[in-house]
This record gives sequence, C-alpha cells and structure tokens, in this order.
Amino acid sequence: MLELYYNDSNYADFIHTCARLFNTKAAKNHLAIPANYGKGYLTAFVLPEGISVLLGDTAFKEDIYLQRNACPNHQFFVLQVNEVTGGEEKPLKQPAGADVQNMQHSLVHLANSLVLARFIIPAHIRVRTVKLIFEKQHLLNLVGQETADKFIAGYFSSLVKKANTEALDAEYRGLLHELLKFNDDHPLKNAFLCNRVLLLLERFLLHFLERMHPGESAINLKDDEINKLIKVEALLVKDFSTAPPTIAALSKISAMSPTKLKKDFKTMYGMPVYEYYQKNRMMRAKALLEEENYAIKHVGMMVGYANLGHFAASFKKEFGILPSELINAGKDNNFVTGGNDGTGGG
Amino acid sequence: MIKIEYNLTSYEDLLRHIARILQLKVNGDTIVFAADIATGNVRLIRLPNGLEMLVYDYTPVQDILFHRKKTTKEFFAFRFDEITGSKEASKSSVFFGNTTHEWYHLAAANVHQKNINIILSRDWLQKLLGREEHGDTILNFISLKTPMYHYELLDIEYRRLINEMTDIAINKDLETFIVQNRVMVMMERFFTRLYKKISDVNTNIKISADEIVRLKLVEQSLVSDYSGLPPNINQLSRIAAMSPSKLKDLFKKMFGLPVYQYYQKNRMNRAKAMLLSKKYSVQQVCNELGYNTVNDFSKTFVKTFDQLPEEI
Repeated sequence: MLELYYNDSNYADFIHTCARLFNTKAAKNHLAIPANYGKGYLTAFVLPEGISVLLGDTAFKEDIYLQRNACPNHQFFVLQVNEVTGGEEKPLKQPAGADVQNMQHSLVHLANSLVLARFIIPAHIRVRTVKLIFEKQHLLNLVGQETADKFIAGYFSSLVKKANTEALDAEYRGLLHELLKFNDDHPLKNAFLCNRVLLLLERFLLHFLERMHPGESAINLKDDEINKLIKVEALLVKDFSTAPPTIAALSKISAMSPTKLKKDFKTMYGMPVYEYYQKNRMMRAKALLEEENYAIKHVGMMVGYANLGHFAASFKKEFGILPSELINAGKDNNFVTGGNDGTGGG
Repeated sequence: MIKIEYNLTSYEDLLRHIARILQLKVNGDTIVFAADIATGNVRLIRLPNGLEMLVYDYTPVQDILFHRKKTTKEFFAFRFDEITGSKEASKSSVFFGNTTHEWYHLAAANVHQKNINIILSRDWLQKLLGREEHGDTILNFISLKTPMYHYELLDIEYRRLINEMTDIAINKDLETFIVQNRVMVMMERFFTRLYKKISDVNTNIKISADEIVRLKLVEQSLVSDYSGLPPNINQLSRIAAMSPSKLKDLFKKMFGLPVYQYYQKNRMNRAKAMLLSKKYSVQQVCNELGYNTVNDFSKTFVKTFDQLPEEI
C-alpha cells in the first residue's frame, strides 16, 4: 500500500505532492500517472473566484492511503464528487481507526480542513473525481453573507448529521462527465470548466440547505443501507445496451426485500427505480448525440433500442425534442450576423 | 402605443426611467405594470459578479415600443426573448448587440413575453473573453463588425436554462447564485456558437482579409440606398473584383443570406425602423425604399412581418 500524507490547501500543490509519491514530475498542473503505478491523470486549475479545482480519472495498481492533516490555522472546505466503477468487492485491510473513508462507492462528500481526513483508494478501481477547495470568503462572494452563515452554521451543527454526504445521482454524474471530457479545443474552455464547477457547487448547496429545513428530515437510512443502495444504483446505470437488472436480481444483490428496496431507492434518489434507470439512459443518449461522433441509429442501439422509432419517442418524452432536432439545434444554421437594421434592444 | 426612449447603460437607472415614463412606482427592484399598460412586471437583478439584468415578464395591453438611443461609450447588451403564443413563438430569439447604435424593440399587444436583458461593459466582456485562448478572435470579430448585431433562435437548450432560472430559484437562499450560473452558461453557449460560426467561415471557405474588405464594400453598396434599383450582380462583381459565382458564394457564407435576399431583408427592416420612428408616413417610406405603389410595398411588408405597415 502506498501512503501519502499532505496538508496542501490547493490542488496545484497537491499535484506536485502526488508527483513525488510516484517519483515523477507534474507539468503545467497536470500529472499523468506513471504506468508502473497505474493509469489516468490528475489536473488542477483555479477558478477566477479563487476556488481550487482538481479533476481526476485514475486507476491505481495498488491500494493508496491518503491522509490530509488538520489545518487549524487555515479553514477551508473540500467538496468531492466521486464516481467509482470496476474492481471487485473485497474487504479492505483497514489501517487503524474507523474514520477512514473507503473510496469504494460513488459519493458526494463535503469535508472541512479543521478535521483530519483519511481515505483509501482501493487498487484496480476507476475513480472519476472532481474536487474543489473553497473558503468562507468564496462562499460569501457567491451566495452572500446570510446564506453563507446559514450554511456554515448548518455544517457545524450536530443536528444535521450526514448532511455532508449524498448519493451521486444522474445530475451529478452528468456534470462530472462533462467536466472530465473537456478538451483544449473548446473555444471558451475556462468559462466552460468554471460554469460546470459552479453548477456542481450550486447543486450541493441547494441540497444541503434543503436538508437543513426543519420538518424535511435528512434521509433516514443507515450507512449500511446507503452503501447497498449505492451498489444498486451503480449496477442499474452500468450498461444500457442490454435489459436492466430485474427488481428480484437487485433485491438479491442488496439483500433487501423488493418492497424495502423500492421504497428506500426512491427516498435516496428521488424517483422510482426504473424511472431513474430510464432518465439516466436518456441522459447518456443525449451526451452521446452531443459528441457528434455517432449517428442517431447508432446511439439508439448503444442505449439498448433496436427500434429507432421507440428510441425517438422515449427521447422526446424525456427532453421534449426528437434526437434529430437536438442534432439540428447544435448546427449553427440559424445564426445571423448583420448590419444595423434597427431591431434589437436591451 | 407607448414609447419608451432611453440611452442609459445602468439598468438601475433604466428601471427608474421606465417607472417615471409610465408613472409607476419602483417597489424594491420591481415595477408592477398598471392594468391599462400590461399585466406583469419588470425586475432588476444584481448578480454577485457585478452584472445587472432586467427580467420582463409581461403581456402588454397596448403596443410598447422600446427605443434605445446611441450611447457614446460602448456597452454590450444581451436579450433573451421567450415569446409564447402560437404564431409569435417562432420569434423567440437571442440578441447580442452594442449600444453605440440605435435599436427598437416592439412588444406587441396581447403577446406574452419574457425578456432577459443583460448589460455588459466592454471591460467586463474583455475580462470574460480575455481568459480564453480564442477570446481575442471573438473580441476582434465583435469589434470589426460595426454596425453589428448577432442573432439566433432561442432553442430548447436556452429555453431550459431560462426555465431553470425561474423554477429552481424559488430557493431564496441561493437565488442570485442560481440565476448567475444560468446567465453565465447562456453567454458561454452564445460565444461558443459564435466562435464556431467564425471559424467555419474562416476554415471551410478561404476568405482572405482583402476579400473580406471587398465583400464589405459590396455589402455597403447594396444597403446604402434603397430608392433605386439595387446594383446588379455584374456591377457588384466589378466592385468585388471577383467572378459573379465566387461573389455569390462568398457573400452567402459571410452574411448568411444570398445577395438579394439579404438586400430585401435589410430593406424591409429599414422600412420597419422608419415606421416605428413615427417620423414618416407610409407613402414616404414607400418612396424612400423604391416601391412604385403603396400596394406593392404593403404586400411585401405583410409577407415579411405578418403585419400591415399601417399597423405599426
């Protein structure tokens, strides 16, 4: 097991700390994982607002133990959005202490620099991640004094237990994937990255504040149940090209009764099992179409539709437009630039 | 018809100005229209990043004409219009232009519309685009095209963002943050698409800088005077110093329409602008634009705008 101890308060520094661990050098805030340690990359940048961001898509050959020491003199928050895929389920050798977070599950999690953070990335799993470090001042600038205070009070209040962790759902996953597939050719690359990161933060804050409202109780599930549901969700959205697992199969895997599974899934992900499956399936189709590399028919088959008409109808049900309309909207055939003809305004 | 003239570049001032003209009160940052003017309201939102936006959500009872007069200092304005109602819905659009030119916007009676207006200083735009590798290309393009505007249809993606602004923003704690994020995504989208358009023009067809200058001369000679017949293709081809077929091809690529469609579109827009200004009679406009009879003019006008000249 590799061990990494750090107390960096921004990801540009963190990347260099990681580079030392792998006996290599990072170039331009970008670290390619050396082949003898695994594969993938980590890349860091800073938003104009001052928020530090890390994007990563990695799979390591051995378990990695990370420990961020507490920084009592410098308070900041760390929001991470992780999607974990692949690798077999295995009990991990836990280093001393039960507070070690095992990155075996897809999660959205908020931590604080005043507290020591320890986690393990198991070998051979693929972790796609976006992490951001922000300070109170950033929050003040974005959401104003009142809301920032409310959020911070809520965070440190023991009343809102578990409010700092939530499941990675379809929307988070969509934003995460958009961020990770960014390319240098995007004409407004910085604006693109910045806007997606702020949308992630917005979504987390929105959910966090909602859960603080009295009466709207936090998700009342045990850790064990949450982990089971995360497993169910991962299985459900793993592959759209074939029929989804049945409730019976999911119930068996999660060791929950079908009734309880259906009920708890809805509590956690906000919609019934197959509605959630269908929504993710359509979002996947939309993402594929937007890549412009595939024909509509091809995309339909990739998300498990043999019949193009059925695919188009389902797509329209979800987004209000046909796949062909989406493709045409992407083309700039309606863009007009012209002289002063006197109509306009603003 | 109510006329609202202004040349203000602060939306806070503009909101007060509108209230004064309509003899209404500004309540907080909102004007609620009086029943004889419209149902609905205008609201000023100050975003954390320093931008000001005005959100109009209303159905006028009578036509309202907004007339922006030229300003000496250059500002840029975005307008996202969502127009509901069967016939007018196709006029939903995104508009981007600068304030050193005169603009008109007619809000027709009994048509519900939501306008999101955002004003940016040149510095602000420079800061936004200056961070980008291709930002200079976009800035140069915007500066070169004067007088200029850019316009595209409000498609499903823009509509989704506009709806999200009002749907999600019921959470008062995060309202301006949510609105700001949508505004920034809309601008990002607009400039991304604009850039793609520019690079299409520059890569798919090779136009040299010199040819661009000559095409602009052609465009100028085409729209400078409508009272006589427009120059024919041969004349234009001489001005452009290129073959007629090459001219037609490049003109369409650069200005988005075939030569005479472009001419006709500008001619009709000119007519509309003249009528809206209320300084000319239909007969005068008709003469100015080179129509022999008012009847011919009216027919073409209806075809373009679904309205008779007299209705303006």
